Amino acid sequence: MDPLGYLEVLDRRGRVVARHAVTGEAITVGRGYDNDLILDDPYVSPHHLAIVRTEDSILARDLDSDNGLFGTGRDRVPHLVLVSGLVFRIGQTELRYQAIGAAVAPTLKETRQHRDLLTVIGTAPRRRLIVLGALVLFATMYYQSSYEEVTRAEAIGGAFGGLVLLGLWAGAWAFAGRVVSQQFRFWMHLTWAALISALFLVTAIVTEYFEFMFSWSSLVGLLMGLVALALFGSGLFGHFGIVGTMPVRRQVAVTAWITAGVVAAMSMFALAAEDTFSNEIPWSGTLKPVGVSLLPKVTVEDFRRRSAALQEEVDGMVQP
Amino acid sequence: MRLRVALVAWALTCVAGPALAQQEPSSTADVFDRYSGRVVKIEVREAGSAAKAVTGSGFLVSDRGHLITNYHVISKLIHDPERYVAVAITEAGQTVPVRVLALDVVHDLAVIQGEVLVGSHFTLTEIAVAQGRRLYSMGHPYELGLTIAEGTFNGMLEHTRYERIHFTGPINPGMSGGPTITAGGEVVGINVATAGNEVSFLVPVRRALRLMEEVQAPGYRTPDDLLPLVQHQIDQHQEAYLGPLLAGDYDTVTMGPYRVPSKLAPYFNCWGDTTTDDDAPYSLVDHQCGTDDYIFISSDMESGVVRLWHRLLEGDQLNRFRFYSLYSDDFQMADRWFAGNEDEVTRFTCEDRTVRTSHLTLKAVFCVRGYRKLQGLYDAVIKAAVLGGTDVGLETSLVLSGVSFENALDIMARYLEALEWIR
Repeated sequence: MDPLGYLEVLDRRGRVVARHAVTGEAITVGRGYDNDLILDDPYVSPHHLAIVRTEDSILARDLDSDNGLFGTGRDRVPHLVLVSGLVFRIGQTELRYQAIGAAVAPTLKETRQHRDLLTVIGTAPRRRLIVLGALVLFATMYYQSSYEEVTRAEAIGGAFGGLVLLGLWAGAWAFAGRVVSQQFRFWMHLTWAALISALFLVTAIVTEYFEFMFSWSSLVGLLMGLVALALFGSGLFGHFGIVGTMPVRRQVAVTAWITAGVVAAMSMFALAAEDTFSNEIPWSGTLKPVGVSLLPKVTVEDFRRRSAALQEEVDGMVQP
Repeated sequence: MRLRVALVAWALTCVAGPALAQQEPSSTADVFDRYSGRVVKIEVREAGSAAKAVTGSGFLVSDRGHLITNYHVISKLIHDPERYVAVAITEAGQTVPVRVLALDVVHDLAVIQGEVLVGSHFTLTEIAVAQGRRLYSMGHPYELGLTIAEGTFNGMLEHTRYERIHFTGPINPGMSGGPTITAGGEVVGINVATAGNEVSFLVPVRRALRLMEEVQAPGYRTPDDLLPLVQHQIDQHQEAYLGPLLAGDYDTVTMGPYRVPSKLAPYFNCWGDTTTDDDAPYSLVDHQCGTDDYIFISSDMESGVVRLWHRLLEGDQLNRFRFYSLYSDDFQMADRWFAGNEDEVTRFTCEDRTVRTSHLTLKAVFCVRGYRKLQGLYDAVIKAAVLGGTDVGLETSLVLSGVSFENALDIMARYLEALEWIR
């Protein structure tokens, strides 16, 4: 006989964990093994409920159970007329009746960005290549930025330290993915995190060189700040994509909100630092091995003139 | 031989002169007995709560209640006259309010007056004293009550900008502003500082004499606000002590392939050190010069400090990237922290450029902050790192405190030009 609808067993979060077709014939629900639908709920009686068809409706009837049948109200009821979408409860288990013609939610489309990501980091050889590349970059940076005695093993060890941190980060995302969409994509998250951190590192190095060469011209600073923000945003967007439950528009919105939050927090810190008194010299520039001929230079006289311009700023602070 | 005889004779007249005028006491106890009534304890108190903020010493120098003390004892009164009051407490226990009449910030002296203070007082005169002569320092160390300490006169300090007597004897906190006298009661100097281990310093009495002459000159009026006077005195003094720095004709020292300025002025002291750690793939050589003396402005601020520091870095076992990591980290760390609080100074602001001097290409940084109460005075830090080497570098920093903006800029320009590459 064709089903008229389905009786659905829901978990605590309202998700369907089991379905049983409702036909014209009576269905029994309970903890006993002789039922049509067996529930493992200790609050449910061995023979708790029957679903029967009457002339003009489908009825859920309490079989004189210990804990009873509950509809939308607070009191137990002897029976309920089932209409499509109605959620009711026996013991601690929620059940829902859905008629055969009930509407379902529109199909989620697999996002394009997700597919692109999958092609970039989707295959195992590529993932290996990216993670290895990042590892080599970290090790190189570790070695080149150290000036005490350091062995190659220490440099590689240092780089692995970075990788462990990335592993924890990727693990957290993978775990979240497991909870939200039942997909544990640790290696994808790790690859993505390694790729983004490597790009971050490269941006930081380029910024330092620009800072050294052009004495932090504000345009360079702004540009590099934007690149760093874009990387941060892409990182989040990518992780959300790999988790894979959000529609793209939502993904963009969430990423934008978080990025905006970070920008706001950073601006607040920067503003607070501006107002805070400190005895520290605020100069934090770096020196880089760049050929002297490549550097834009000023004369001592010119430097004196530029420094003289600070007086106005300082006097402004003296008399606010 | 003739010279020695002359010296002995001179020394004798110094000692014998006053002894003829009045019977010189024979023991420290006698000295204490005779002169303790002329020394007072000075307390600077918070006006509202009467809580003690600073204690020091002072001594009577006229029959109208004039007292000499150190500027640094009563400086809170100058910087925050609404918040603080000062009193003098006599040996007899009498507490008398005092007011400030005149200041010599550079030599750390002040004349104050407590109208009702009468009684015997010291008479200030210039006095020549021979090295080794026994002197007696009086004051209130650590609030332990009036104390007398014996010591010896050891001449004037050399290489200082401000005259200071080197006194070998214990001067402790709280004795500042008290007198150091001969057995005959002649004031030789005013207790001002100690380097510990009985190495102590006095302001020569003639500085106090000048200040008293100023106060007692007809028509002298104490300014209502003394802060501009402090500023004026520092400004005036600056011109004198910064002269050699502005002339730019510096003593130099060779560090690796560089020639760098060393003693910028006669009152500079220099010392050097090499860091050689066999395990480190680099070596550091330091050379530092500075002034030992400074002008006390307030408990958080001093002026007149000039300090320079060079560091030669050599890393022939490092590749150029690793060497520059060292160079960069070291350059960022150097001279980054200063004393000072928000009420007295602004924060620092900086300018940095790659600068081409006549001799070198440098990364130069000029940082400056302003004094809030003494307007027109600034602290400046000039830092530079020589560029172009792949395994050798030179960092330098010059710190100037309490100078005019113009002077800071002029000295910076001369200083940068004084760095040379010689091979």
